[in-house]
Amino acid sequence: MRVLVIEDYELLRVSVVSGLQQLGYAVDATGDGAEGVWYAANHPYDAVILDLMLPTLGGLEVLGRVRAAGNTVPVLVLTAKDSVEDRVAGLDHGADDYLVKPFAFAELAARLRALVRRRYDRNALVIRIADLEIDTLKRSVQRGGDIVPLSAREYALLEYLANRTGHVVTRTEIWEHVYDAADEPWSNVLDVYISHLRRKLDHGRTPKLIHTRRGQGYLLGEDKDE
Amino acid sequence: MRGRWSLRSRLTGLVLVTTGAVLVVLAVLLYVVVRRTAWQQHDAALIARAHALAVIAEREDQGYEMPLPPDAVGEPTSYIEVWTREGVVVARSASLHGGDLSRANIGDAGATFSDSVLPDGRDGRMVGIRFLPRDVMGTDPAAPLTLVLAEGTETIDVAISTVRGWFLVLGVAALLAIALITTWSLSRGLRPLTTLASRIEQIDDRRLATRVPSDGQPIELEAPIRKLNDLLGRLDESFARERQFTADVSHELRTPLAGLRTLLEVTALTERPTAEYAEVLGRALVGVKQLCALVENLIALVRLDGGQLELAPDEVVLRLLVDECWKPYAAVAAARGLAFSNSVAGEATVRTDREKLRIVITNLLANAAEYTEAGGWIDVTTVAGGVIEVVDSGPPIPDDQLERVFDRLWRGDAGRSATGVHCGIGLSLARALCDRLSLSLTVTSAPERVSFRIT
Repeated sequence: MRVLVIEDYELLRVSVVSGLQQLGYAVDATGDGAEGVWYAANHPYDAVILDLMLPTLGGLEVLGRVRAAGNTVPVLVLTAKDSVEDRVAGLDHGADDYLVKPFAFAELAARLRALVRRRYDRNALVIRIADLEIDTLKRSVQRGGDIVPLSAREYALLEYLANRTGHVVTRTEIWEHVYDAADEPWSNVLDVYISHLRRKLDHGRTPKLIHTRRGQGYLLGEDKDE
Repeated sequence: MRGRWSLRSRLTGLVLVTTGAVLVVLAVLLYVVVRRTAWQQHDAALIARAHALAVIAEREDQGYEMPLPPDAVGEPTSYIEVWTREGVVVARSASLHGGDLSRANIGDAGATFSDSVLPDGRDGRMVGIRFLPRDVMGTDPAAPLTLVLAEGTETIDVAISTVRGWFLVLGVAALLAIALITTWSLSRGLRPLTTLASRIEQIDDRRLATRVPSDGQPIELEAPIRKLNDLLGRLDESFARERQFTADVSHELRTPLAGLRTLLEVTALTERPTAEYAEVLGRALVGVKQLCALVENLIALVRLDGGQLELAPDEVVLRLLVDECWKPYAAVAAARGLAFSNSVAGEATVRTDREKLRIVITNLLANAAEYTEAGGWIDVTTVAGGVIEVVDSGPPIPDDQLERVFDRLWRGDAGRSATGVHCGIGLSLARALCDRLSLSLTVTSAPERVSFRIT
């Protein structure tokens, strides 16, 4: 999952980015509202974390511009103001959730997970596809009752594919949702991760869950066509 | 300490005492007049009866003839006695039973009245007249006789005491009526005050936006209501300012706190190598220092507002102080590509409170480090005859906002929160501290040059 963090206080921004990265998110971050608008317009984020008090361009203005461009990305607003009016203003401007500073990082992570679940029309924390079970809270994966150990990147890739289960996911989409701006789009890396996933999940098991659609991309799920 | 008192009861009391006093004086005067008139009429009747009796007396050869008619005594009993000039009794009523009336007070001419006690012990009134009896024979030059008529005064005493009783009863009734009317009309008349009081009672610190309407109020209340509304307006404004200030301050505390908390929580997510912990500690320290600077500003501000700021003058070497103040911002400024130079002469000193001046310079440098456009410069120089000047490369402050930078909580841009040390109190605090130090802090702005000068 790829997240954009727009927060001008460096200590907070860097900490949130570091924490989210540890949770396997691909994270882009900026301290400037206008730059944030540009990021949001040019990358398909799974969620945006937006501070309301920003220099040059305020958080509400950023939110307004993002929404005006027709972008429905879930936005979690961070605010130092806890009055009802401020919270209402944020939600009315198109925020999906808000968190008052100072907050617990665990709560930020939980709210972010909820936003992402909603984005992919899920309610449960656990994604089940055939006998594959992905616990998005513990970030653990089981297939047929056996725990499948995955690296952070492998997990992120699998979770994104699982969120889009039944749909063919293009390589570009994977790049955009699993990797952040700092990663080099090196297509070979993606092939390597897919083959790792195949080996760990599908090797010696049926049905096969990871499918390649030549020229289109990848699909996670029970493929009725094969 | 004066006890609680009510305007209504005080006015009621005042009206009652004054009208009561007037009423009593009037009643007493009226009573005196009525009493006198009654006595005058009584005396006139008495003397008329005495003269009627006198007609009976006749001069005879060797004496006087005066057969008193039996009904002359009447009921209740009257007493009649007639003497010659020599004191010889000519006639006396049977009611005297041979006794005498006093004729001591009878004058020589006209009629003489006096109060007396009747022989039967009743209170009475006596009239004495001298008269010439009818002289049928025409013998001697007539010698005058003295007639004394004494009657009981029961009738008039009763009449007068009845009048007195009525005066008392009517007076008390009038006083009661006045009391009732006064109370009623006062409570009616003071109703605007009661309404006003209950209106005012509804106003508390959460409802300061309420205004008391002056329509339909008496003109006497117009001025106080206007004053009250003015006061409410000012209170409302200053409460709103205070609330805004408290809210802004707490917001500014929240951001660095959020940073610190997240940093520590995120660090605790996994085990890390020691070097990484050291780096996190360094970051946390920066956050704590920013919090400290903010808290220091707040404390100084509260002390200033409370007037408890003590000054400890000292010889301050300016160049060293500027270096010390710049240290916390050096890294941030370098990251933003700002060039800093301290051109203060090494020997320049000023005698002032070092701590307060440090806060002033720190805030000026913090402001410059934050607002100077990335890639710009900041220069601190000595001012001839003054202290120092902090100049940066801008952006310039518009003329109409120049003085406003010293307003508490004013920010150049509305959404500004920045690093948490800058919530719009820094410059206002700097100026207030300069005032306290008997220094002056002024700002000037030109294209690519903003200068804060302490003189």
